[in-house]
Amino acid sequence: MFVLRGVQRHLRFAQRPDLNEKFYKMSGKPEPMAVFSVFQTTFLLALLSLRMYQSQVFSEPLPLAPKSLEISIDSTHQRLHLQWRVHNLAYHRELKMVFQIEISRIKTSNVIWVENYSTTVKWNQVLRWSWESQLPLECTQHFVRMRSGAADAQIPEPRFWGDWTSWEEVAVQSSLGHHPLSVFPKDKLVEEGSNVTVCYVSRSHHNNISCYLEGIQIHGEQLDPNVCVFHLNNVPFIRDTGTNMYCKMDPGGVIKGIVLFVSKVFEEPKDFSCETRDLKTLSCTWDPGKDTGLLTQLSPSYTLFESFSGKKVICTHKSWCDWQAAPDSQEMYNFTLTAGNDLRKRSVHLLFNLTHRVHPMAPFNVLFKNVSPTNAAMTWRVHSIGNYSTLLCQVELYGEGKVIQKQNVSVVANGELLVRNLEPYTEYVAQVRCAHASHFWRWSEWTRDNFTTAEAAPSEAPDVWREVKSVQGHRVVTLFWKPLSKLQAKGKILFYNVVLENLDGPSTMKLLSIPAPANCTELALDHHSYQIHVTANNSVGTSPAAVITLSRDPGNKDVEEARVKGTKDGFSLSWKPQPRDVTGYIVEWCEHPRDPRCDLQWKSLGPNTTSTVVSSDAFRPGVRYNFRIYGISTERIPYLLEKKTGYSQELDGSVCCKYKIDNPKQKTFVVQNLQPASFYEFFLTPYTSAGEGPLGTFTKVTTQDEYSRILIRILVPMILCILLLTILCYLKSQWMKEKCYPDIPDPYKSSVLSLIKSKENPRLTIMNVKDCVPDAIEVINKREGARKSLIETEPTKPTYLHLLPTEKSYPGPGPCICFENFTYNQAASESCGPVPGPPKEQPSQLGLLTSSENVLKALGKTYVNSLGEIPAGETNLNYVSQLASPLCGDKSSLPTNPPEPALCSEYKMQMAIPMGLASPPSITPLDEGAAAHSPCPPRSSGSRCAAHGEQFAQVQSERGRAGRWTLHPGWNFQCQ
Amino acid sequence: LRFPPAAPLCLLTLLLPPLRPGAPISPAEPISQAYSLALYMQKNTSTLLQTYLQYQGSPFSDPGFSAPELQLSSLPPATVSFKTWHALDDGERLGHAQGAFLALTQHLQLVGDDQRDLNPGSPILLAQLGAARLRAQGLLGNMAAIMTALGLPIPPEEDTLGVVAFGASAFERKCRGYVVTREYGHWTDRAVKDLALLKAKYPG
Repeated sequence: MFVLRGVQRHLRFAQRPDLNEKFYKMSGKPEPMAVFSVFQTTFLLALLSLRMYQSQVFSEPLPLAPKSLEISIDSTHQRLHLQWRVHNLAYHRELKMVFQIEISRIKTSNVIWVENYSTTVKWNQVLRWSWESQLPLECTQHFVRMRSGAADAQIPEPRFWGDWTSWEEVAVQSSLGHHPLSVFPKDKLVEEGSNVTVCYVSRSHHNNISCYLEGIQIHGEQLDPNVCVFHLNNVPFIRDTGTNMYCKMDPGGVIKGIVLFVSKVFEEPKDFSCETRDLKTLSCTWDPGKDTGLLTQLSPSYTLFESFSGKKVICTHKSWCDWQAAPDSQEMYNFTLTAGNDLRKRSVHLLFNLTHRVHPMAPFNVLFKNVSPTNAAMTWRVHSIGNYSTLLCQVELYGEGKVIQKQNVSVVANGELLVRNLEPYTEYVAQVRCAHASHFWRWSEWTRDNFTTAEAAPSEAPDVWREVKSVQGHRVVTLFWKPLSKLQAKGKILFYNVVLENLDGPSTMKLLSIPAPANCTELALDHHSYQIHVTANNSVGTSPAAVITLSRDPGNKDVEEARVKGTKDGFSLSWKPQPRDVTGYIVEWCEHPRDPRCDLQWKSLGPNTTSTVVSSDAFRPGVRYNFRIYGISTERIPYLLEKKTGYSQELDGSVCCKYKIDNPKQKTFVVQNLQPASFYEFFLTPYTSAGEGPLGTFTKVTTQDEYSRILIRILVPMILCILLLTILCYLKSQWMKEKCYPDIPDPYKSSVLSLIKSKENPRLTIMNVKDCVPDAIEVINKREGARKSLIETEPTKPTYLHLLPTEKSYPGPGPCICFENFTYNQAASESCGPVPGPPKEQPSQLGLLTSSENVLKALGKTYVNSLGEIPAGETNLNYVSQLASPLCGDKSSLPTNPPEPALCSEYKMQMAIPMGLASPPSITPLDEGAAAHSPCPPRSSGSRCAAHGEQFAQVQSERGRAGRWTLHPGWNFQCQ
Repeated sequence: LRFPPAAPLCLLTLLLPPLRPGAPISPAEPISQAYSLALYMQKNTSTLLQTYLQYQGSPFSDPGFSAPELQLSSLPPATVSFKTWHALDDGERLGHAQGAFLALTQHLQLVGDDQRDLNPGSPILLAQLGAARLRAQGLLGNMAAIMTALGLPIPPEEDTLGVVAFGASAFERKCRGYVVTREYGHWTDRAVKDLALLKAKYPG
C-alpha cells in the first residue's frame, strides 16, 4: 500500500516589529512616505470620528488585532494552514470580523495572494484559514501577514483596518538539506487533465540542468537563478505506476526526479437505487463506474447519508450498502451517496417513499391440490409485507415448454388459483411471482413447481390390422395395432383386450388380455367367421373398440399387380373408388421385404380417400416393395382391391441391370459376371417403340458358391504332381537308394587301420575280448572276395555261444565299454537324408531316441549294399556301433530263436569312453577295450546282435563329438 | 516467489556446511562451494538489473541507461583499485565481501518492499528480487564457513540501513533500487574474483 504522508511542519515565528510598521495596500506596493503621512492624518481623524460613533454600538475598541499567528505547512497538499486568536475580546461577546491575509513569494514585496476572510469571532476562539499553493512550497519561500477589520453591515466601506501582523516567512527548503539538485513536488497525486506545477531547485546556478517528462525534454521558466518552474498542463493518464519527470545536472550527472501519479477521473456512481424486500432493510445498489487506475494510491470510499434521520453509514462494499429502515416512524427517505477518494468527491441523491420500493420475496409453498384430468387447484404463500399489504401475483402455466395460461391474482397471504382446461395425464409446470399491488416496483423471482394431471379413459380405438396365414390347414391370424398417441391414450396404457366373437357358431366370446406395450398377438383360428374387438385400457378405463371381421372366405382373389414408381417422398398410390359401401381403406406393405419377418405396416384411410402417399425411412433404393390396398366393408371385413409393386428408387448400372435385347427373334440371353452365392431376380418384358410392356413375374435365381470350384482348381494339379513324383521315385529307386542309403564300405580296407598300426601308439590298444563279458559270440566264416555273393546266397547262419547266464552276476566295474555314434544315427533315422560324408552337425542327444526299427532297416540295407559296392579303405562313411541289448528280447529265447529280427532292434549309438577318462579329449585313440558296434551284417539281419569277430576302434574327431569310425579287426561287443 | 528450478536446491546444499561449526575443516571445500554459488549468481545479475530498469519508466528504462554517480551511502561500492584489491589479506577480503553482501541482503529486502508498492503488478520483478536476496544470504553463509575454516573472526551482523528508508519519494526509491541491483552485480563480480583468488591459494 502506498500511502502519502503530508509532513506538517509547525513553524512559529517571532513577530517582526519592523514589518509591522509598514503599510500595504491591496496591491501590496508601499506608498511614498509623503502621501503616507497625509493619509495617516486623514485616517486618524476618520478613525476618531468612527470610534465616537462605534462606541455607542460596541463596547470594545477597534480594530482587534490578530495575535499568535501560527503557520503550518502541508507539503503534500501544498497548503499553508494559518491559525490565530483575537485578543481583548470581551467574555461571551461575538463579533463579526474580516481578516485580510497577504501572501508573498520569494520576497515580501512580491504579493501573490490577498484574501478577505470574514467570520464571527467568539471569545478566546482559535481562527483557522488555509491556502493552497500552485507552486510546491519547497520551490521557494513564502511570506504571510494579516490584519483585521470590522465586518459589520452597519459600517460602510471603506473599512478601517487594524495593523498588519509582521511577515511570517514560510521556508520549507531550508529543511531540505544541501542536495545539489531537488525536484518538487514529491509523489504528486493528481487527476488526469489537471495542471501541475513542478520546479527544481539547484544549489548552484552555474550548472546546466535539463529536465525530461517521460523521456521528452521540457522547458520551464526561471523563478530565480536557482529555481526553475515547469507548468504541466492537462496531464494525461499513462500508466498505473506513474509518470516520471526528472532533471539531470551536467556536469556531475546528478539525476533527480519525481513520480507523478495521474489517476483517471473518479466517476460519479451510476444507477443508484434502493429497495426493500421486507420493509425492514433497505438495500441500496449502484454502479461504481470505471476505476481510477491507481487503486493502490487512491482507494475510493462510499458513504450513505439519510437527511431525514441524519444517519450515516460507511459502506464496506463499493457497489452496495444496507440500511436499516424504520417503517413505523419514517416513510420518506432522502439518501445521499457520497463517493470519494483523495482527489475528488462525488454525490448522488435519491428521495423515495419506502412503500413504493417494495421488491417482494419469491412466493413459497407452491402446491397443487385436487388434481383431476383437466383441472388443478394451485396454492402458494407469500411473505407478508407490512400490515397485510395486497400483492399482485402472476401465474404462468407451461405445457411442453410453452406458456399456455397466464393469470394475475391478488394475494394477501395465501394465493389460490384453479387451473382449468388441462389435458389428462400431462405434465405441467406452473410458476408464480408477485409484486406490490398498490405501488408496483419490481416483480419477485419466480417460484416454480410441476404437476401431472390425472388419467382419463382412452378416447380413441386403436388402429388395428391383421395378417392371415394358413399354416398346415389352420388359419393363423396375427393381429397388429398401433399404440395410441399421448392425446388419445390419456394415461398409461396398461393392457389391450382382444375379444373374439365367433359369428358362425353359437355366440361365444373369447377374451384375451395382452399387457402393454405389446403391439401384436397371434391367434390360431378355425375357418369360421370371427369378429375381433380390440380395446386399449389404462388405469381409468377402456377405449372404444376397434372392430375387424375375419370372413370365412380368405378373400385372396386374383388381383392384377400394377407397377408404381417411388420417389424420394415415398410411393404415391391411388385406387379406384368402390361402388359399394366401404367404411375405409387399408394400404399394407412390408417395410423389409427381403427380411422373412417382413415388418408389416399399414395405413388406415377414410372411405372417401382414393389415393395416398406411403413414405418411410426404411425404404431403400433398389428394393422392391409390394403394396396391397384393401377396402373395409360395412361388416368390417377387409377385401383386397389392388396390388402395387415398385422400387422406391430404381438403381441403374451394374447393381440393377437392364439389358436391351434388340433382336426380337432372340430367345435366350446369358447374364454374365454375376456374383457367386447371390440371389437375383430376372424379369423379361417386351417393348415397342411406344414403350415397355406390363410387368411380368420375376424369376428367382441363386448363383452357386464359388469356393468349391476354386478348391477343385487347386486340388487336381496337386494330386497330379504327387502322382508324378511317386512314379519318378519308383523308377529311380536305385538312384535314390544310392543317394539316401549309401553302402557301408568294407572296414578291412580302411586306410586308417594301417595308419594306427604304423604309429604304434601305445595308448591305442586293441580291444581285448577278455576285458568284456560277452553273453554271446557270433562266429562268422570270413570269405574274402566272395562278399558280393552273400546277397544271392543264403546267409550263413550265425552261431551263438552263450557265455554268461545273466549279466547281473557280473561283478565290479565292467570292463565293457559302450560306444555310440550319433552321426550315424542321424543318417539312419532320416532315411533319405543327405549323402553321408564328414558329419557336419551333431544332432542332439534327443535325436538318438529314434525308432530302433528304422535304424535296423536302414542299416541292414546299407550294409548289404556296401559290401559289394563300396571299396574297402573308404573312410568317408559312418558306422553305427551296434549294441544288442539284452532288453531287446527275451533272454531265454535268444538261443532258441536267434533269427528274430525284433530282438536285434535295440541298437544303441555309442561314444567311445576310455576307461578312467572323464571327458573325451581331442583325438583320443581308443584303447584296446574300446569297441564299436557295426550294424547287423546281412546274414545276421534279423538275428540277434553278436560279436562279429572284428574289432572296431573309434577315432574321435577333435571336437570330441563327431565320430569318424575306423575299423580294427577285433570283436564287436554287446553290453548292457 | 518463483525460482529457477535448480536454485533452491543449489542454495540448500551450499547453505548446509556452515551448520557444522567447530569441526576443523579444510577451507578448500567451502571456498569451492562459495565460488560455485557466486558463479551461478553472476549469470543472473544482469538479468535482474535489466528487469528492474524495465519496470521503472524513463530514464531508467531508456536504452543504455547508466548513472554511475548514483550511490547509496549505506551500501559500500564494489569498485576498488586492482592494487589495493590484490594486496588485501584473507581477512580483509572476506570481511569486505561479507559486509557488502550483508548490506545487499538488507537493501534487496528494502527494494523488494519498495517495488511491491510501486510495481504491484509485476510478479517477475518481485520474484527476481526475492531470489537475489536469498542467493546473497546463501553466499554470506558460505563466506562465514570459509572464515571459520581459516580461523578468522566473523563480523557481527549490523543494521546497515538504519533509518534512511521511509521518507524517500517514489523516484528516490526507484533510484535506490537501481543502485542496489547494480551494486549487487558489481559485488557478485568481485566476489567471483575474490573466491577465485582464494581457491587458487587454498587448493583442495
